[in-house]
Amino acid sequence: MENKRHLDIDKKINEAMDSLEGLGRAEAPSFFYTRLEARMEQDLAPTRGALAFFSNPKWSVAMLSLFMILNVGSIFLISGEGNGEVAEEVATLESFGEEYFSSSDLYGYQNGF
Amino acid sequence: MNDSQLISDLQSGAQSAFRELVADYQDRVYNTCLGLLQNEEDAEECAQDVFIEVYRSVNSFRGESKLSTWIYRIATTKSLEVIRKRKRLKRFAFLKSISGDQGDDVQVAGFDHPGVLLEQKENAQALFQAIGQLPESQRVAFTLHKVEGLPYQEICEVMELSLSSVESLMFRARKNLQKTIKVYYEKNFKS
Repeated sequence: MENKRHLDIDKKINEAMDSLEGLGRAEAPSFFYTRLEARMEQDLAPTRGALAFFSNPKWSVAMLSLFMILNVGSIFLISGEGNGEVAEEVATLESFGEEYFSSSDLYGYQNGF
Repeated sequence: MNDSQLISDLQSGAQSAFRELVADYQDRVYNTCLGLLQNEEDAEECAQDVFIEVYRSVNSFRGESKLSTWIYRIATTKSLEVIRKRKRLKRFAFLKSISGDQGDDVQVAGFDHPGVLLEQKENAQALFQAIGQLPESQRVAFTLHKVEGLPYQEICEVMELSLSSVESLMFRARKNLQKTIKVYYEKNFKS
């Protein structure tokens, strides 16, 4: 019984292996060229207008890099200017303090009277 | 129109030459893609990709191989790209299923090639399922030979391999297919 099953399976394997003999070629679906043409118009059409150069990856990357450099540069410049302003503010406050709340040493000469 | 005339017209940008090329090759390209991808929609989209690639790169075609060989090479490369993309999606779907998210199933169901004889449909389905489990190069060689009917010599040119390498791929493909089909029938066979 088991032997017969093995023989049957072997037969099925051979049948499956030979099942593509005489296979016909599948034909492309109807209106293949029309659909291809439509897709090519969509895929290959250049972007029109002032931003057409963005469709070129080289230009896009170059523009993005420039944008990043300008951004990073601006951040550095702003942070640098900020430090200067803070230092200036501290100096102004110190001079103001000195003017109005100056230490008694400045008037020490009066103690002599 | 012969190949060299067709290529020269294509390179000069003649639309009529492109239309003629598509008319000549669309069934061969579609059948190759269908054999490898085992899905009609994917095969049509892939065949379109092949012709778009031909259109884009015809100026770099130097005529070192036959036009048909070049087109078959693009068709197999594009089909393999789709197969790799499917595998990535499958892995992603598996990861999503682990995380409890039920993604779309990308598994190809039982495939009926339209050129298979009616009495062979069931056997061919088992064979195509097994072909889908072959390693890439064996799958390409077997499909080009059995589905598209290319002789070994042309398969060598398409795959850029020696004759002995293609023979070896075909031998290993047959052995692997027999093993896979055996497992399939041992599970499903009812006498």
